[in-house]
Amino acid sequence: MSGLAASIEVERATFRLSLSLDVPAGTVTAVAGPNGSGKTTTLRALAGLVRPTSGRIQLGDRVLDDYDVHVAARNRGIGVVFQDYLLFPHLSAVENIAFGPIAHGIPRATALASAHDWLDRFDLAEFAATRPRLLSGGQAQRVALARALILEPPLLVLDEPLAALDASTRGSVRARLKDELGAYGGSTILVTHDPVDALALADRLIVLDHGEVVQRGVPSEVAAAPANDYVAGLFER
Amino acid sequence: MRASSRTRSPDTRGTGIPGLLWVPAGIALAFLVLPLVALVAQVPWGQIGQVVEGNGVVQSLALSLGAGLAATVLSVVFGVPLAWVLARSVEWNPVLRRLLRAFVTVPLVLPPVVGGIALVLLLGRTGLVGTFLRLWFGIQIPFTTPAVIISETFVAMPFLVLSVEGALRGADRRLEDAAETLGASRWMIFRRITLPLIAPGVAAGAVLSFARALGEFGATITFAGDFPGVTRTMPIAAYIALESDPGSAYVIALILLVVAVGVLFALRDRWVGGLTS
Repeated sequence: MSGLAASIEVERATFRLSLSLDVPAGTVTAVAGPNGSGKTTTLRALAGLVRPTSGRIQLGDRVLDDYDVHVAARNRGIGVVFQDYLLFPHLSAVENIAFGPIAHGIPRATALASAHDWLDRFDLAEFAATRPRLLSGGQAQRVALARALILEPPLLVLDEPLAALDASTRGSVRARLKDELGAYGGSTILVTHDPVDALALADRLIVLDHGEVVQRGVPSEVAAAPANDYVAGLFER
Repeated sequence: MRASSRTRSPDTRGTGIPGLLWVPAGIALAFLVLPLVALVAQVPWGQIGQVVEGNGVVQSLALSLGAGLAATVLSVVFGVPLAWVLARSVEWNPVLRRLLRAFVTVPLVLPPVVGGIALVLLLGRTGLVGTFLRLWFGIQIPFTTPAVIISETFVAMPFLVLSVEGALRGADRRLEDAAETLGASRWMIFRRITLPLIAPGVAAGAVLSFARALGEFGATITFAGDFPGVTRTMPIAAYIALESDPGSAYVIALILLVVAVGVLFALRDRWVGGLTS
């Protein structure tokens, strides 16, 4: 099988997350919910930055977490585009993208050449030497996406990839992101608080609240038949 | 009336400082500045060349710069890791962190002479560790140039540790998460991400440490003594010369003042423009 199959339980003193996810390769699943619903914990568990209390995370044939297994974040090979993108401020755009390959022991020159290819592909060639703080929100997002995708991850996790943008550019960046996700062959998880992102980008939607799944389904169907007032409120805008 | 007060420029709005405060404020400023003015005024400018050539001033200056530099390097090499432990220890144990922080801060508030005495009791001929260094390895530290460097490191390192710790706590740790998901080892994250992010803090801490080491007197004279060419640093040379040859004492003091102003200049953005963490 290919794709992500995960059931994640994370218990904290005041919080409990319980969630199962099936994301076939080539599809996008959005995880939506308010602050504190467990979206970020889900992301950190998938990335290996938090070890689930129990559950199992399997990616293709590879078990990443189980009761006796925990693959560390740096060995998981999962692409993450963090909220605010978290580009390394002291490195240029091309050095940011080449960071992953270099960390994997690929010679610097080879890594930089391949990073330049990604910049070309994302129409960012002229910004190769630019520091992140001089990039626009949309450009920074594409650099962050390239930095994650250059490692050809079987799973890509995006944390609020459009939240840092102002309203005037969000539409065009979202359209572009849709194209780029369409070209990507792996499983994608999109963490968002904005149902418009889910409707535009995702094949499936999971709505979380207080660490529990409130509803799951095709985004347009969830919008048409919300399971409760909270889910209905998400789409009322 | 209201309209006119609205249109006043900030310059004519007044400072809002009560007139009575100008007097003590002026006295305070004069108190800080006048001694330096007196020093600059009294320096025998015509004899600077002579003084620097003779009386071992060059020797003292070389020793001071060399020992100060060595103390700074030691502070960076050992202080950055300590600052790292300090900044991150809050996650394992807040009590441990407060204890560590107290130990690091003590040399800042301790009279340097006390530090010197403590170093004698640790590394001196019959000290806690010094006894064994002498008996087992034949090493004697007191009254040597290494003793100068150790004294200076003792008083200077806290400046570096606290400066770097502040920088570390200000750095965005999520960047380390990002590096980790890209496959970076802990060492690579430290070297390629964390260290460059805190570089300005390390630089500021190093300059402060160097300035503190250069001015060190109390711990040095207690632990290392006053041996020309071996332990007689600039501050000690100035103090000794004051009795026999005041003119050269003034010149040495002037050189130290120039170095201090240079340090202030190097730190102008971080230090003079408001202490950043």
